[in-house]
Amino acid sequence: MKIAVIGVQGDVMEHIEALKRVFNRLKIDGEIIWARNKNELQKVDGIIIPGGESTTIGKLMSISGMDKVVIELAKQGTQILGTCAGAILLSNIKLINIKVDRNAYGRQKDSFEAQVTTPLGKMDGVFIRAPLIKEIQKEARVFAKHKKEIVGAEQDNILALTFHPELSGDAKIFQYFLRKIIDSKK
Amino acid sequence: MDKSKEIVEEKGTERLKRGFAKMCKGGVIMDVVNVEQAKIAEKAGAVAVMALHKVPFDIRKAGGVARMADTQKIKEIMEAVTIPVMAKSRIGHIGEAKVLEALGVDMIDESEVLTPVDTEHIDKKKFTIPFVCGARNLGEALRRINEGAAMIRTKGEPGTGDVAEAVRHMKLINKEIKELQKMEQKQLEDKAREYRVPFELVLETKKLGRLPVVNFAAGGIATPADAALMMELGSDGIFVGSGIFKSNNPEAFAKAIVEATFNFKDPNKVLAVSGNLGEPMKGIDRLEENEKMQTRSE
Repeated sequence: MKIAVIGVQGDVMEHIEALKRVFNRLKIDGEIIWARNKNELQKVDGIIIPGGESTTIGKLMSISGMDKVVIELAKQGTQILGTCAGAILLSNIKLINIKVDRNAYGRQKDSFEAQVTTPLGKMDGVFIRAPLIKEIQKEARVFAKHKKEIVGAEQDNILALTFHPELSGDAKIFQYFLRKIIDSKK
Repeated sequence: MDKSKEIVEEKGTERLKRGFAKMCKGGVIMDVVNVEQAKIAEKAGAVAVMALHKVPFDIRKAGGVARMADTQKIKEIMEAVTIPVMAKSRIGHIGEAKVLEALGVDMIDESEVLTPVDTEHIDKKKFTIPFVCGARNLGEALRRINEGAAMIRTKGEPGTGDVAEAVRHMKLINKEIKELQKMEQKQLEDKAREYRVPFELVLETKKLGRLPVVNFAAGGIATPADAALMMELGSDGIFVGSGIFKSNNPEAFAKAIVEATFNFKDPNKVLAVSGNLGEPMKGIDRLEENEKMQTRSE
């Protein structure tokens, strides 16, 4: 299995490390790459767009042509996970039918940790200058909630989260993401 | 009432503070003194801006006591851009830091660029918002982390346009961490005493093989190649102070430094953004000992 983490800016290494831990636990033989250009996205089974500054990641993905490749691969069914800034970008490039509000809770002083509810059970949500999913449209489905608010959405092979599973130490999201890849190959 | 446990929301945790710094990794944080500059920085792809009343080069030139920026100015910048806004407080100046926290900036730089008020640094654990602090060596970096800094940057020599001191500080920190990795328990205990930090922090640094928080380069970065050099040395990202808005083409320099930071591993891509930029900041090649900002704290 080969997973690419879009490595233009943000907490790329934290995603790689979180994935590595799950690879070890599930005894998956695979490769995780820090993708700095579009050529590195060829022949991958999954792509993660990490947290960071969405305006910066968006700009650099577009300059490097990675955005177009991600869109193409997503349409071919490649599994994609976006966390925080990644969720904003997935919505911007229209891979998931959600409306997202950037910095919806305010500034860094309003960043918080709280429990979120998902189909995988309850888990710690780490929200850093987090966006919020304001609206779910068409095929998109609610995936995670904090109180009454939508903090995660899924549409087939696309999963968008406004919190940071890579910082919580809870591997459930990454296990789920890898399971989706394994199941899609059956 | 529902019998299930009420979910407690937590703010200002160490994870949130360090997490914020992690979101800046691989990016460029730019010094700006007004709304116009902040917008240029944001458009160029900066991950955050540092709101100041003067860039370090002008602070040197002006002389006198350098203080926190005018809060109205910072507020205007916060309202003008969507990326995070940081601001500087004087070293040890809890009063300024509290004002900046009340204002709601995203991070405070307890900075040697401003005139220190105390040899003792701010107790940063008492704040909800995260702090970044400068360091010249591992001892300084670990003392700041122990005080609660969520991010470290090299001090370099601010406002000079000369990256040499930032190189020296980054290399020294890397070398001192490598040395830790060869040490036994007893030697690590001695180091902890020498650095005046808890043994656990020294041990954690040894195990990680790097600082336990994000470590940026700062102080003298003026060109795309400077940024690429600092990334090559293992910096997690770049602060550019005077380098952008003291050049004769800030838009071009800002964009080029952002792209060089991202593409530092590919010299052809750094080359592609290095030409036709205009004049970089002029800079200062020699300072008297008492003119250095890096020696203002330890």
